[in-house]
Amino acid sequence: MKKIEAIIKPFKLDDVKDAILKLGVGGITMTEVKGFGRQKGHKEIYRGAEYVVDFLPKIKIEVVVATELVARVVDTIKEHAYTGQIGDGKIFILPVEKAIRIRTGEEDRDAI
Amino acid sequence: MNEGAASLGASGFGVPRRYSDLMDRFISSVLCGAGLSEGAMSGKGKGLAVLALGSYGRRELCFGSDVDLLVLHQGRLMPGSEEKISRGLYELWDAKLEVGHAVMTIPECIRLAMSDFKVLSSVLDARRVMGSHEIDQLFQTAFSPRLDRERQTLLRQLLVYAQRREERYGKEDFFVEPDLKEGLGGLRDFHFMSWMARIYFKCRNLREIRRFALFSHFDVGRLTHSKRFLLHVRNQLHSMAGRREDRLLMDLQQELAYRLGYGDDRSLTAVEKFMQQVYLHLNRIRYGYELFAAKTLDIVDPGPSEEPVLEKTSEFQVFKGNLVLRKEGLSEKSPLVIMRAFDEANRRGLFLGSGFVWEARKRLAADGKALAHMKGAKDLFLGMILNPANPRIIRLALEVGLIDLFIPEFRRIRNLALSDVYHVETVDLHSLRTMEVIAGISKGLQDDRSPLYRKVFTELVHPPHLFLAGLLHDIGKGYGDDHAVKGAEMIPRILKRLDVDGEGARKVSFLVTHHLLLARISQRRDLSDEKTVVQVAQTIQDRDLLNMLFLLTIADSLATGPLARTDWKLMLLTELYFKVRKVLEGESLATPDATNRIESRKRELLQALAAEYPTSALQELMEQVSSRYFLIMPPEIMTAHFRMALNLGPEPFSWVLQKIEGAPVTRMTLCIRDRPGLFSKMVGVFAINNIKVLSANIQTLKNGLAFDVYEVTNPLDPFRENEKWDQVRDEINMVLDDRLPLDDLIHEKGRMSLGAEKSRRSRDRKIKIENAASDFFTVIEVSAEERTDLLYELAKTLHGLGLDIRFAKVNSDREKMQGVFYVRTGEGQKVTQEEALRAVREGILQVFC
Repeated sequence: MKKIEAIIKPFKLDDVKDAILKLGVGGITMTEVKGFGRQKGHKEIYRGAEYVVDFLPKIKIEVVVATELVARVVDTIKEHAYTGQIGDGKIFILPVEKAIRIRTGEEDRDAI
Repeated sequence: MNEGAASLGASGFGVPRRYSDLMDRFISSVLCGAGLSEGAMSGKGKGLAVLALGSYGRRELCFGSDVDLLVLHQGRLMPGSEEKISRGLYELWDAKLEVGHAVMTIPECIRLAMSDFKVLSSVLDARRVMGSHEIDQLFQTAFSPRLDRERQTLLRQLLVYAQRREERYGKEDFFVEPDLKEGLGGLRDFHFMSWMARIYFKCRNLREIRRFALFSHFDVGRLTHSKRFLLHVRNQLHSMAGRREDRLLMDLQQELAYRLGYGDDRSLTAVEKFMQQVYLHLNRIRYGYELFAAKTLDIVDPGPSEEPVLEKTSEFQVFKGNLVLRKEGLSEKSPLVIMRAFDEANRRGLFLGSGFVWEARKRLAADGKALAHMKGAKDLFLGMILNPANPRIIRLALEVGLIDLFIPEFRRIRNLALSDVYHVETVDLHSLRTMEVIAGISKGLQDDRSPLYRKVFTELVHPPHLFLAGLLHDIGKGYGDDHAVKGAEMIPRILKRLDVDGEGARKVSFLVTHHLLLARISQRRDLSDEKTVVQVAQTIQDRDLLNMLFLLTIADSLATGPLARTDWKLMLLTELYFKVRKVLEGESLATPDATNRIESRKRELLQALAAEYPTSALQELMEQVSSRYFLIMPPEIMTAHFRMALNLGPEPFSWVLQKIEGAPVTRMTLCIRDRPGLFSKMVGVFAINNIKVLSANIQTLKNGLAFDVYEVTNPLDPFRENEKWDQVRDEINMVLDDRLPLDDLIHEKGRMSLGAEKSRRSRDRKIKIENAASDFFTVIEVSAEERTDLLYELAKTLHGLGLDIRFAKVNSDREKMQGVFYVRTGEGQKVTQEEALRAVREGILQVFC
């Protein structure tokens, strides 16, 4: 099992969410976050207002999937989150030791 | 899910239906258990109806499918109902079903369906599972008139949806791993037809469409059979993958083929036979859908009719853009009419009326053989095939069996897809498309890519030969052997049958035999090595044949797929074409007196640099360089090298970077202090920076310098190319000082690769060692599945065996790496000893593991 964390542009949330759901991931967690990468200080237009600040609004998506799905989920996120402009985001892959479903106590495969 | 599969047995097309029935009973019992009995739901005024939607509603439930339920009620929901429904749903979720649900009143449902196309398509297939009949009836009687009222709006939505699907699934990666549900020709196409039939023709079932005159010949039965085949495969796929997987992933294809009972034999593997069936059914459904959609659109939203009018004496007339017989009854006429119809439609850019097509298909099945032998039939056939102005008609000719009639060998390649990631169409369609591309070139459609192609076309002596070659170049596929050789064997017989004259037969035969030559040589050989070009020129010998072969290769590449037609590959082809052409025109590279040319090159170089450097220094440097260098390097590169060498201070190297026009490639002209194993170190540094080496040319000087030229892919981030090159420069410096743990970095990179889970296809591995390809070098060709560290390891191994790599060309993509290395022993000789050759082979095999 691996956890895939993706930081993406906010307006791409629906696209990415719909696309990875089609692949059969069990569930998704989404957080509104702020961040920046190498372009610190670059101007970026967000919802009509110009910001010249370090921290820009982003969306973080987290999914935990079976290892054999990782490559496809990553490719799908890349494809749907892409714009070609600075700030498209990043994807991280982390190993997951265990997963447990609270309501039933199921573990690992059955929990995701 | 797996228990379900086991209990129903894994064979038979009826499984989805039985699974749906099983699901009905299961859901009924669960909901009853939660307190929602039939009685409780059917009371007057407090009714509830549970409807199945989507694929469940259609009774096409596959093992991984979602179970979509709709609970309809009137007015307010009874107290306690919500709790009971929840309880039921929980149980269904815990049973590991993917349940989607909604609880609504009838008006709410209709309103939602009319505002959201996805909901609408799901609801169109609604089917009562349990509960109030009355509610179900009320729903249907309210829904149908609404559909009717808004059918124009719905049409627009359908078209938008269809367009989006085509854009998304028409992309080439979806061909090799087709999506059985959403892909083109998949189940969705069939659903679309059913929906259209329901909305526009009020048919509850697609079969009913035949009541309508315009659809009386529509072969619903065949399409239904294809649908059931795909559904069956999809079900097995779900069962095998353990989840809702609709794409026939390459890794799953083989096991699925065996599961479904296909076996390997000498000419086709189980996968190839299986996929042939899959494509057959996909193509059939896609083709049927296109016809259906076109006809429906005609009726529902007819455009303005500007019909071309034919002469009164013509036996045909035009009706709604299609050619039909002026006077009834194909059955009374000679079957030659069919040929004439196709020919006429081709020339005028029209299609044929479907009634005519249906009758023609029947007639061909009955009298085909007689037709093929009739006087004039062949000429009409050739006339059409050799001037393919209308691709739709040619495609139709394939579909009705007309091409098979005159070229029975075509049957073998129908719907054939060989296990190969490069081709995006089955062999038969690919052949037609190759002809289409050639026609496009002649009309200037490829001028943006390169105006050269059309120019070459205008020089052709007899273009129809090229079209014939395009049609037949892959005819030898499907027999398990080398298809170029096999195809060449078959050509004389085919052409004799078509009464093509001797000269034409000779040329077409040649083209088919050698249709892979230019691609192979340009991608795997040193094009600046005279011998390479001369050998090709000697094989071809004739300029017209060269022109035809060039265009055939270009068309074949363009028609194959994006991996085959990269800008880089097309550039290499063009380079080879020009070089061979020069040889054939007598301006040869291969004058017996190469010494003269070397001298004149040296003189030119001296002149170019005389203003900047003292002649003595230049001459002294020239002494250090092998004569061969002056023959193969273009002047601008030589001047760059010489400048860098003469300016080189204490720093270990210097380079000039130049971006190549027409492809995403950078040329690095490098002057560096040579050292053992340098090539593999350079390759390593490139690899850890995600830069791929496309070609490398290495010239060592007597004074310990090296004049190299590398052609590599551009850095991945176009915004940060300079930073990336700075990093590469730093890392090369480090690696020259042995301060960079290259091995570790490369292996770490390989280990982290996402593709590590993919199964290794070891049957693609090849090693070929040739001593006849070059006068000076042994040529080693290696082919294997792609790996981050592969090129690095190969370079290190060859170096470890004591070999000097002087030239390399690498072709790599997601799947495969093909590399060619021109090597010499440490003493400057070719590798000829048996033992040495064996050591090389074994060394390379080690790398593969």
